[in-house]
Amino acid sequence: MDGRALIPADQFVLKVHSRCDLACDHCYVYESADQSWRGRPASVPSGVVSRAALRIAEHVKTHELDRVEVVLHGGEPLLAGVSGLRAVLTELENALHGLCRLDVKIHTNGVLLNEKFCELFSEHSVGVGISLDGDRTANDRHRKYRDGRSSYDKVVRAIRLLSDDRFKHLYSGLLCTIDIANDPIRVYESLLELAPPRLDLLLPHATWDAPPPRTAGSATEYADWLIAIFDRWQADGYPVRIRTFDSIAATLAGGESATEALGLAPVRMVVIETDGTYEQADSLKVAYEGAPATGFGVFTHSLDSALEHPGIVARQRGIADLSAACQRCPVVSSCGGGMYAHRYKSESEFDNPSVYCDDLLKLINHISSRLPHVAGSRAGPALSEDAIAELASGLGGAETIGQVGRGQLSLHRRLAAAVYETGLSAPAVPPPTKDLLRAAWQVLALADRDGSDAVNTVLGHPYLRAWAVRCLARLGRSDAADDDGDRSLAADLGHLGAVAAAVAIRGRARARLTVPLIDGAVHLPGLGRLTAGPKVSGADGETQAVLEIEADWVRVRLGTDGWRLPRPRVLAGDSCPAEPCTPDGAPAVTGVARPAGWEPVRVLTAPDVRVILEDTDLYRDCYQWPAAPRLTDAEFARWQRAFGLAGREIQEHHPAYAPALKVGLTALMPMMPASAEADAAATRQGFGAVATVLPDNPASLALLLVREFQRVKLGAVLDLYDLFDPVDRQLEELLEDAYASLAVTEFWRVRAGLGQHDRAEAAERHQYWREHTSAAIETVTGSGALTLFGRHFVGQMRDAIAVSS
Amino acid sequence: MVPTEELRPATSPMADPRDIPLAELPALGLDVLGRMIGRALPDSSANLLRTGSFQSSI
Repeated sequence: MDGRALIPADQFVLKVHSRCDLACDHCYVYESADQSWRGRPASVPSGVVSRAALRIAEHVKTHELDRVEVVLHGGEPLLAGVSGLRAVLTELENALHGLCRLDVKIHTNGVLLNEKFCELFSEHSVGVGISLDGDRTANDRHRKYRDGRSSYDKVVRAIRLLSDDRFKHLYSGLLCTIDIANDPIRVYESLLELAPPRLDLLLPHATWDAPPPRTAGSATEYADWLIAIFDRWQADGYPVRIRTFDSIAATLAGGESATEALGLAPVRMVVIETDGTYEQADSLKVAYEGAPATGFGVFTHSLDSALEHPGIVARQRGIADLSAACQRCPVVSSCGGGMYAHRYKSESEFDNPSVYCDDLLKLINHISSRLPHVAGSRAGPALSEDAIAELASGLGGAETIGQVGRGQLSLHRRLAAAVYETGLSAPAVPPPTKDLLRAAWQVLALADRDGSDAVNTVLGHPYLRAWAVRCLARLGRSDAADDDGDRSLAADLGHLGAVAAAVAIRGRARARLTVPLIDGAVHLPGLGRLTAGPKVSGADGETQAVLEIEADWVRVRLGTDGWRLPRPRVLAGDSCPAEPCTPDGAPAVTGVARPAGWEPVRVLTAPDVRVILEDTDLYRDCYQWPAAPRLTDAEFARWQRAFGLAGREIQEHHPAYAPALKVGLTALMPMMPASAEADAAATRQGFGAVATVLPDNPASLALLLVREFQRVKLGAVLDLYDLFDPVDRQLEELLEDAYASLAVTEFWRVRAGLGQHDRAEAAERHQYWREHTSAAIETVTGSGALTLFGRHFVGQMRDAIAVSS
Repeated sequence: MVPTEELRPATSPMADPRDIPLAELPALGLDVLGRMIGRALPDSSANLLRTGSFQSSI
């Protein structure tokens, strides 16, 4: 070791069978320099499995890992049989039960895959990846039986089985090894036909001693082959995740690669062979006999020993262990020197660029040029030092809150993209819903490309995040397709169509979009909802409406009924009846369609402040207390009166908080008065929004707004920085309480000084809140869980309360 | 004042406020998007963030 901390592994490749039923001539296990497979047990002995499972559990405990991934690999792992694999899975699950989350994958050639294997994998949630090199011609160049027979039909049959509704949640993806003799577009199209959730295109293993096949005089045929697919993939709108391209984009954006073949991220993987020995990446077999060996194994050494092996350490030190040529290269953070094995040359071992260096350079430069914004220079941090100092003191002016808001908008945009991407790649999402996602995303991307402000207005809506988080949480569960309460997954994902429709309406674009019908209404975020008559309900089988957005009208078609709304009135926030219309948009005779009405989102105003009153948004009910139903006009008038007076109260008596509210408070959500303490709330899932009941007097509403906006601000800070380590929900609540109480203390300090009739009570309250806040700050500080940055931040909070006297 | 850079944890990908065009965001893939939004997600979404970089499995 060189004095650095050991980087633990979180991925373990467990070789469960060292032989194969195919004889692919490009296989790195059997056709390479290393022939160690000949001396190993064919099937992994149970003693090795149990010992390996214990070693992994030991590693998890030592390094407090919360998740590990085990890849069942070979040879051909299915040769271990159903009962053999069941024993392996049971052993792993038993060893890791209660210690950490265990994700298991298997990678197979697929020829033996049958229902019994799939049932086992379903029982144990094992993701299944399959190797396939393209169409029949491409695949049969290499992937054949020993007697020369094609494996293609059996592999495709296996993929069809995995695509079956019963097993599609197991379908992990396809791995394709490149042969430049194959037509890249035919390979791409044939793989896409099999609807993999993700795929990767692998450079065939090669070294400087055994270089890859090339046409004489050409140095970049592999890049050209991949570029042809990249261009088509981009033109197709990224219909499938392709790991190599994703990884290049990710590293260009300053993130990490998802494959060891690219990037500078440290390797965190150990291979465990069928004899229990630890190995480095088995691709090293292409370098020389014994190249992957570490000399350690499950019976004699911990996994830490393997991770201290110089070969693994060399792949954890990033750029420091690359060749001099790589260290100087402008794309080194993306290629990372390429696959370790591909750097090998007898005389200089691994101190070389990849044998695919020219290809990688060309490919990365091409992708960089096609994704200019992803690859653009990194911007500075989201918050300036001054902004952080202001926030830590409990305040934050317009400029600071503007910075916070821009960061949140960026987050919302990424959340929307994540819903889109996750929805497209999730097996639980039916194809028609994926089509709706694509249509909605196309409208959003086009409006964004045209620079429409509408995109940021709609995506910046506070509850977009609540929606996105709900979708991503559902998609992350194994029971994603089940109804969640009263809403289907399709309805939640379909809301992206409503988001796109709101953008089109605001941006004065034309669009035709399908949107979900929920609770008998079509909801357009930030604009309002169209409620139709009683016939409209999910029970009647109506789950979707079609919106046609044109220059002057928004037409809504629901089953056989249709209505139109004047777009200018929708944009102006006017209430208006929905006018029945025919399918071609012409006015229809009244009474032909069910009665329907447009309920707009209304706006509350106060001096210098304008917020929307959110009492229709589908995802607003995201607080610890329930949302109130839509307000009547009379109720709205009371809210407007109170909000105006509260705004004046803040402006006159608490001006330090006014600029932040002006810039950052965008929505008020009427809340049900569920209990005495249920007066107001804020959530990290709704930046810019405060939920509140309507208190008796304007000063109380002013206090609730100021107090809850503190939580809004702190939530945004916690989105960006670790104030405590590890993230501790209880500490987060304590810190929130302390931060909100800072403003409450200041509020009562000011009230006590106003000389009004409540002066004595205000002074008493000021004293109470000052002590409460100080105590909360000391509790947080004394927890010992604050990071250095957290201690600094909370220290400034302490300074602020100290002067509130 | 202590320089904030010294006090901050390792840069959060969420602290990068660039507005990447929506059309380019899907090209980042879920791995990088997941890291960018990781802090915003509840625990139940953690499996959007895949671990493991072994090339010979997917």
